[in-house]
Amino acid sequence: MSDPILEVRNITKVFPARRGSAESDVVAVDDVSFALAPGGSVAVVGESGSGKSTLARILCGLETASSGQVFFEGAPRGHASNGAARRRRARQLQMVFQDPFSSLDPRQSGLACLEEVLAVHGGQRAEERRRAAFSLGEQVGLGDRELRATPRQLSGGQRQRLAIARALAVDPAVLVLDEAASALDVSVQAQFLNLLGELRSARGLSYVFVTHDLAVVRQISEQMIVMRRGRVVEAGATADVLDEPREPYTKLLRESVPRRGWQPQRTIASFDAAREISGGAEAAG
Amino acid sequence: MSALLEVRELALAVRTGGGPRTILRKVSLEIDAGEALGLVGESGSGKSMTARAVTGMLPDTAQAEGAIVFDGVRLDGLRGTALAEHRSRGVALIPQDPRASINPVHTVGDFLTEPLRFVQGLGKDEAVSRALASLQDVGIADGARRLEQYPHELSGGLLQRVMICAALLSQARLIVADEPTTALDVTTQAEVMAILNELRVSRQLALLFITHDLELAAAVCDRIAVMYAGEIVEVQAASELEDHPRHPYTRALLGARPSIEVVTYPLPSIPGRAISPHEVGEACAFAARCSFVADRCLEGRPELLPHRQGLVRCVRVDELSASGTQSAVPAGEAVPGQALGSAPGCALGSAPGDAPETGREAGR
Repeated sequence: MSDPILEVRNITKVFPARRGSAESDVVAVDDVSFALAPGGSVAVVGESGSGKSTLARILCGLETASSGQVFFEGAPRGHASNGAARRRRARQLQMVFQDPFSSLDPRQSGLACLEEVLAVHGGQRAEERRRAAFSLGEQVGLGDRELRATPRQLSGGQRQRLAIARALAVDPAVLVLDEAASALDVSVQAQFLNLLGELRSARGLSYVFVTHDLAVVRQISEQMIVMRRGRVVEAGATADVLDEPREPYTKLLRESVPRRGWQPQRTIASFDAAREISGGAEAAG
Repeated sequence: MSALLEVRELALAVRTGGGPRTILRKVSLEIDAGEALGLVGESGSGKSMTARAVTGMLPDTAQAEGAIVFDGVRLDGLRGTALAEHRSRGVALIPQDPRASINPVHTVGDFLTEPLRFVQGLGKDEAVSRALASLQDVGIADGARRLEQYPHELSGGLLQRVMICAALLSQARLIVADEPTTALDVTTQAEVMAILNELRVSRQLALLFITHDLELAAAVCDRIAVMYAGEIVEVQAASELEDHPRHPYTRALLGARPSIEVVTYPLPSIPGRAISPHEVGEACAFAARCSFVADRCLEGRPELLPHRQGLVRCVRVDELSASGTQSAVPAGEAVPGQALGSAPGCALGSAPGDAPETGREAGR
């Protein structure tokens, strides 16, 4: 395979306990590694507390890893010391969050938002920026009227399209999407996933897709890692992991997804109990 | 036998600065004692407002018409103590966000035992032992410790089980569950739904289950009603609805949900956006997005009429059922093993026998 565009090597993140508190340190991410090929898509799957969002934040530099490193095209993604370095870093990787409300300025129109990003990163003349902003809007399916509206006047799906357009404004190689499709209604989610598919083939984008939704993973990523309590419990090609999960936890996740003929089972508590017993046996052996 | 709950042509509008705004249009439904009815729809379809009407929790700005009859008593006229009585012995609510519905400065024990003592008139010891037994029923073993704890000390899944406990202790005959597992992890959801389902069946309680998840509703409900833009568009037995959805919206909704089994690209999405109830004109509310739309659909608002074993609000339902059309939208091509937009050969580690470029595995 081709050299990875993004590589994560042995990332660990420890949040130290408050001084004097009886609680112990929290290991949010525990020695996680994976690689993403150019134009590829890898899903990071897990439940709350699995460390998947912390991992995403480390990729984007919103959080610093306690140890381990992130490489972009083979070079470590270190600190950006000046404006030019920061702009270069921004073009490597952009992030889209679950709730566009909290990542968009409520008083700024989509157009102004996109033009601002373009001004910081491109420095073209005003009319070129406007043209570029409308072209970005068109790529994500937002027309003139939607671009002139403020986030509150848009629907959830439209806001998420705007968040994508803003991320694309710096022409990044990799998009990190943290539960970006999770808050959308089913019919809107399908449109949004199709858009991600189109953008990927049209622009050669690569995705790190953080989600808890296994059906969405099947559609959007050909590789996946399953995280639980900070660790990778299973990794591989999506088809293999979903069709023939090897780890009991992956099986449990798979069986918990409602589908035709499914019946809910009391499983997680017994699963945890069984884990603790087997863990104890290992320690004793 | 008459139904335990009967909602008759419930219409609802809320007052806003710009005049009354329609939320519900002539919603009618029935739930028999011990029956589970799923109310399924997307955001803004009116499913939560229907639930609030049934629990007598409509906002002050709401103007309601129609009737809600519970066990032979009309709810819409209830005020004061009669309404409190209905809420304590008739209907129990399990909310989507338990943290917003429980007093954060009272212990779980207070939350569970207060209604027993002050509504049912039990003594303190009796109330505590009932609460402990009920916690045991929902799979919380260390109940005595939990009773001493405050809501912030409990995880979301645990707190939702406490809410189920409270609903069961209330002696209610109808449980209204409004997206009770939407905020929970999928494994916790399976567990909470299993507990709710077991206890509901064994105690023969009726359930009104509000959700956006058709598959989840089908797993625990006898019948399902689908809502769109403030009205019910289809009611069917759960299994029948999954196998033979009749309304174009139901079909499209089932088609748009990505499958965990196969890659479908593009996913059959529903064009446009869901309209709000107040935007519906004198035509079928779904017409603008429907792939089967005909002139007739625009000539008036269709009625919810009997079709086979259920009810469907579509003037073309007979032709569509007869022609055996199953999908509302042309299905995307199923491409096994290839994700959306990926070009052949660019997938990570796609060569057979190629070890995934991924980190260590558990248990090493």
